[in-house]
Amino acid sequence: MQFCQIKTAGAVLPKQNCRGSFAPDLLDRLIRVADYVPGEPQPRTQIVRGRTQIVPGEPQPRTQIVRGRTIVIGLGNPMLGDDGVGWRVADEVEGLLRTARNAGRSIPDVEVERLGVGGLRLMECLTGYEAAILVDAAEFRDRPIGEVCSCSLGELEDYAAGHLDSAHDASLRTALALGRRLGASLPNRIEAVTIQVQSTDIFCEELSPEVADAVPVAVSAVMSILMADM
Amino acid sequence: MERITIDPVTRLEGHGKIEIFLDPDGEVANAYFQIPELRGFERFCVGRPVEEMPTLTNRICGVCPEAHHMAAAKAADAVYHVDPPRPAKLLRELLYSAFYVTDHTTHFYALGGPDFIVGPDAPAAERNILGVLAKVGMEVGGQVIQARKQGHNVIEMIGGRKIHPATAVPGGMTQGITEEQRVEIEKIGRWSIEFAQFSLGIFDKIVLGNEAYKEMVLSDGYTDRTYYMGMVDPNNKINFYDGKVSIMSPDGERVGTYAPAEYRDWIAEHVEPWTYLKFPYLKKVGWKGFVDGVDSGVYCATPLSRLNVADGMATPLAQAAYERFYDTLAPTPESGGKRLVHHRLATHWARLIELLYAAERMVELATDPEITSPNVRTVPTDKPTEGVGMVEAPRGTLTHHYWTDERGILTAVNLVVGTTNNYAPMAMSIKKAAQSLIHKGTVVHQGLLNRVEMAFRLYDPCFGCATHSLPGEMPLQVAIRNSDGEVLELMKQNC
Repeated sequence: MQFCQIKTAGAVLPKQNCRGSFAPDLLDRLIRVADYVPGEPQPRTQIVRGRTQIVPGEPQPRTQIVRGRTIVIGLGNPMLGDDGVGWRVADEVEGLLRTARNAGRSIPDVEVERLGVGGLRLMECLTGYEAAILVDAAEFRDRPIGEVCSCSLGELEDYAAGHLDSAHDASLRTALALGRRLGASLPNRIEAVTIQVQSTDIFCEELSPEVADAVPVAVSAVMSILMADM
Repeated sequence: MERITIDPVTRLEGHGKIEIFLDPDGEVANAYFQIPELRGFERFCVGRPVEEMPTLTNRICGVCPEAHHMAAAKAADAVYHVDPPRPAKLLRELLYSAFYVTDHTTHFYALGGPDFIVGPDAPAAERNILGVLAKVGMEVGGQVIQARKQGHNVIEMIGGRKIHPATAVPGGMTQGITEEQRVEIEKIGRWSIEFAQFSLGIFDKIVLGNEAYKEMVLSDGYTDRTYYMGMVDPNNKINFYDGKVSIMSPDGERVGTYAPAEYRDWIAEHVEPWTYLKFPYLKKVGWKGFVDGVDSGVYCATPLSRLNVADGMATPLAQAAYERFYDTLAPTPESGGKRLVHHRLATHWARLIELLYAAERMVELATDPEITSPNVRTVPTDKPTEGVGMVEAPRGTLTHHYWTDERGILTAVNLVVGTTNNYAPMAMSIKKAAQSLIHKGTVVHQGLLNRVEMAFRLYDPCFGCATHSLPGEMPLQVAIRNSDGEVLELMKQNC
């Protein structure tokens, strides 16, 4: 059996379960990440540039469920191959949150959206939220396909590598500056989870194998941010 | 040969690249733009039900989903040989007018405006909407955002969704609007008229009031005398949603007017070895290379083109603005009788005149007695076959052509999107701007290069959807050239 060496809650996942859909046990583990109970020992969530690692069994800092209205936005075009990975991650996050809610678990106030816009339009979609997580296909220079990067928007190394820029109005950075100067209620914190993609110029609905394998990692990264102290 | 590369073209889809080739004397030999093209959309659509196309095509990219939604719905009407009831057509055009207000507003303040209002020599970091607002006042930014928000609200009221409308279907619309919504839309339309007039005032003051900018607009480096294309109503007035396509020659003579279904009798495509892009041209005139003039089939489809092909605007305030436009820039008629503006940078002004027309048209449509009628659909009953749908997208004439089997399953699809029409004019404008601005001994600094980009940007090109593979019947001409530009072999297909 092949293994893709993605560490999630200490387990190594069989590769066939990483591609396209989640195994039931992975769903359960991710729900547990979301099911934070104050005061109980939690797996420490460490997000580093390039991958998400959850290292169990070590002393844990207290984490805090994100407060306030939060939105998770999958960016991209689901008709353009790997470009749709943001939507796929958003789908999975939405499914996890729904499952957890249905199970009666305590879940933060999170909305999930899928969009194919950047710049001003994206800024407009962020108004009214206190926190946002943008999940985006990215084409950074010289990075391996399928690499998941998690950082704050301001730390993003190449702003034009994904969908945050708009060719027809402004970059998200400029749009946010505009919105804030006009007094719009915009998130105090915006996190970006990016997935390095391979092919975004051919119309199809399939992800490349490496990008499909990265979906659970990106989902885990989003869930970790949702549970971390924002 | 020395090569200068501008990469990327800022604020354009797909990280475009313009390459300028200089000869040994330091003069511009050639200028090209290269865009990574999306591929396989037609193949992606084949095998799907044609009624999916209005919602599928509007997801090609996030820039002009409304244009694809409308063109697809009209093509699907044609495939089913069904004529939607008048209230449905009114609603579609109302949604489309609101989209135009939003799109043209955004372009002026965020994309085209920075070049003039902030200045072509300003650092790239300042040539954005914030730079514009620093000049014209931050409160204008609030109005820009309000214009966009209201436009999106109208699109949601009629189209069911803010970003990707979903209500236009073969035979009409899935829903009408209420009287309460109509009142709100009328109010938004009236506000938009004032905003459009205000925007024209800004252009007047900042661009026309500045001799240096005016000189740049009128300069030969930004002037090409090509053919023009645009959709007109039976009175030869501009219409974005419906009508026939009119072609105007560079010397002001109306060459002809054709129905959407006849587009392949008029348009052929030329292929160059240095790019995947295909260059449409007027079949009856022929491809003579990247040159202007009456003997060259190169045509342009932009806001400027639409004004040039039309006899005027269908609404009073836009008509007054149209007359002022020609009085200022083309006081003398061409030999063919029509006054034409060939100055490409005037496209920005033309776009604002269209903004005013779209706003006025919103009010006209919102006050039509039938706009709230529940009679919004004729259910198709004919056997589906083939159909063409056409609208004027903000970036040029947009054509959707579908073929289906007797069950309405797509067997072939062809799209000619707005930007595609302008590939050849864009290449020519870039070269010409480069030639007029780069000479031996001239230091190529950033402001200068930006002026070359301005030649490209005025077309507001969008390459997200400017892609297609041919169904096998489109006229096609392929030229293979050596490094000196000499044609080694010329291959033709269906032309």
